[in-house]
Amino acid sequence: MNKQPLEITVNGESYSLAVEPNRTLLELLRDDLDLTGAKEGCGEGVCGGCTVLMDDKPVRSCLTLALEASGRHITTVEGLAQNGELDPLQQSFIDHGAVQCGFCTSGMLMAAKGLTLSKPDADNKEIRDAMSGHICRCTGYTKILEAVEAVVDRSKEKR
Amino acid sequence: MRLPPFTYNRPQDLDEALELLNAYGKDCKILAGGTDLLVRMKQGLVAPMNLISLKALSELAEIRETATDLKIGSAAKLSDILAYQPVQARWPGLFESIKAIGAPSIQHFSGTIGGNLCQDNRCQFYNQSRSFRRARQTCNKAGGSTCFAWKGGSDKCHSVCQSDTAPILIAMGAKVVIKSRQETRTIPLEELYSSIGEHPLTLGDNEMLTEILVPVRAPGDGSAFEKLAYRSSIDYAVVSAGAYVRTERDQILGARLIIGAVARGPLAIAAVEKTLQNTRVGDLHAIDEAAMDAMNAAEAFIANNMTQPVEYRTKMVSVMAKRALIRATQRAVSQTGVSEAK
Repeated sequence: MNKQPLEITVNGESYSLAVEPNRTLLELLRDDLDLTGAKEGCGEGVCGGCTVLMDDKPVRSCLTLALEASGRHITTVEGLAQNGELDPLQQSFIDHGAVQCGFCTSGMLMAAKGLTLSKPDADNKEIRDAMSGHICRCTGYTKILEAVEAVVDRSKEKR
Repeated sequence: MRLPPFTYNRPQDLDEALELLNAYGKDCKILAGGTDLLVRMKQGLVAPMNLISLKALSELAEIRETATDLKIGSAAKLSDILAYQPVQARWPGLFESIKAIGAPSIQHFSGTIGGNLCQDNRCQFYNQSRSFRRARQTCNKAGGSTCFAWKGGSDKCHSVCQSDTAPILIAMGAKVVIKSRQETRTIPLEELYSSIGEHPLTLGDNEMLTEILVPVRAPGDGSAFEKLAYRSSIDYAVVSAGAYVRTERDQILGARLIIGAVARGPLAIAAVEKTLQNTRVGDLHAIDEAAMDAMNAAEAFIANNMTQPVEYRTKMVSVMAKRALIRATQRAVSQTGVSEAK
């Protein structure tokens, strides 16, 4: 199959690649760039494990062709920590015990990050709305929602 | 799950896209958000040789309000329509239907309105992995000659149209613009649907849906959308209902009710217009009667194409119809949008 050129920025680093048209963004990230934070759960867009940010908006990388991400900025869970310091969301997930097996965590974090970037003052309903469509089989969701709420509340206090 | 091979085309303008579509004809699919098509490709249900991506066509992503219509480009993202302020106030039913589609991180930042309208019909026996399907004979939709969803079998496909935006847009009298290299035609949205399970759209191989035109809100009218789904974020509708009501003072002048997720296309309940015409606003007997009209009409179409029992879905038609009609009427009288009314 004919490979096509792809210019893409992942976690601040730009890449010039040649990829096959039927390669998904998830396959590109995991297999070509060794960024294995995004997970393939269902492969059909249902579970949320593969969620990454494309230009700061959460999308399913398993249902996005790599070529469709051309010219875009992708952020994966590996790009959340800055200068060795965890993102407030990551720290909050640890503090609230929102991680058990960890499979859904990267997707959950990216959905939460997408929300805090677009709506730092989101209310609880908006948080639930943004986190819907992400399946977790361990935590029962409460801890995850508490972790996100804590970060949002803190940013509200600062304002 | 891997995608089958294909060639990827990204035209830079609409003319180029229509030219490609004309050249490829049958052997080609249009890729908008990908949340319907790519899943079907992964499951081996379709294997187009060529994909035409709409990513570069900013002309298809426009949303604007004119004196007569809300004009939405077919490749406008669902999240952008939700964020367009006038929609919430003046097209509350449309706002509710988009809000009801999947979850934000699944569809809203990728999925498009055109993709939602043009998604393929679904059935619990068809939209499955290869290994699941191999356990049975091939059904009508997959090229065989049987239907597992219809009691006693059928020579027709009884898959269901699962678009959430179609029922309310049809109820509101939306039109769609369809283009090919040779011609442009504008048709009422209901004519986009063939009500044939095997190929649910009336689009020709060289045609593309480019624009949706929703009439502006008139004084005294209101719209509402109701959807029943087990888990709101990731499930398709069990039953949905789009209602549009016109009132003057405390009289209902006209009403349109479209039931979604029960038939091979969006199902217009013609009897409702007559039942509700010239009734008083707040006459719950009339609304009850209209809801029974809907249930009786839908009963003949509901097949065992989803995991929920047919009897349950049939009963729920009247519930969804009633809720949608009541809310649309309230909005018609109060002239409110989504935020105020809920």
